[in-house]
Amino acid sequence: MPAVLFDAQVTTRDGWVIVAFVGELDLATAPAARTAIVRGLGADAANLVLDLSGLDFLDSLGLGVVVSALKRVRARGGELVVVATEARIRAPFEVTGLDRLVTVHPSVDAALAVGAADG
Amino acid sequence: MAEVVLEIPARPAYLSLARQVVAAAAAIEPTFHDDRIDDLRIAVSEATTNAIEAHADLSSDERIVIRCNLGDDRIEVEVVDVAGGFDQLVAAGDAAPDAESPDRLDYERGLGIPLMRVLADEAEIRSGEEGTAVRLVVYTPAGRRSP
Repeated sequence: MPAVLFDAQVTTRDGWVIVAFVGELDLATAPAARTAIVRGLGADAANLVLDLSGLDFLDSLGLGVVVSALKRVRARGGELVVVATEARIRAPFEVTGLDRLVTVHPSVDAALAVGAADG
Repeated sequence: MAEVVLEIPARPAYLSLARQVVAAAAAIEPTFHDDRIDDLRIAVSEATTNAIEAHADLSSDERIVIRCNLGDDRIEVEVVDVAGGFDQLVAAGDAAPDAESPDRLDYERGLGIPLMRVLADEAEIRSGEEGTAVRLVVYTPAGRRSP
């Protein structure tokens, strides 16, 4: 068996669903990430924090997961905020311009403070 | 030039291994900064993802060859598949609309090639009848100053 390359944890705080990923987010793990988001949001949750600060790696497949999450919450009138600390995770958002669609924050606290102010 | 060659099954589970081997090879040359190795890791992941998906479309179980050439001033990585050409991949380079466009949300894919082109110093995609070869080059700081 290969080492565990990916894990997802779902928590809630102040009316936000927080999905935290750990490991590598790529073609191999994107399906598990999408499943975690869908399950985390459930039938009616609309405000989502994607916490990418535990990721070692993210490529365009990971960006695709974020875009699909954005579509899902917007369809419910909600918000998506992303948390990422490492340059290697933030860079793909900046290089592709995706950081103009979703705001990337340095911590969950910062994300929730801004998200609450916007909402 | 020192050459490292890795051959993997065209399956998503092997992507991480491809990235690890290329990053480890690049780390042998101590003048590469970590952030450039991160750039290379993503670029290689994009090229290998496209190769794996091209094979998946054909239900082909051919292998993907990843060749790293370590030069004094650069690392060159070639990702070669034999899954037949894929014009749609070459076209996908400018498929995703601008971030402000309302259509942007329809594109969950199509970011891979732009990302690869920005992060590598050189990215060349050659697609023929037999398959596709993607060549990526990252220069050392010294190599970059004297092209």
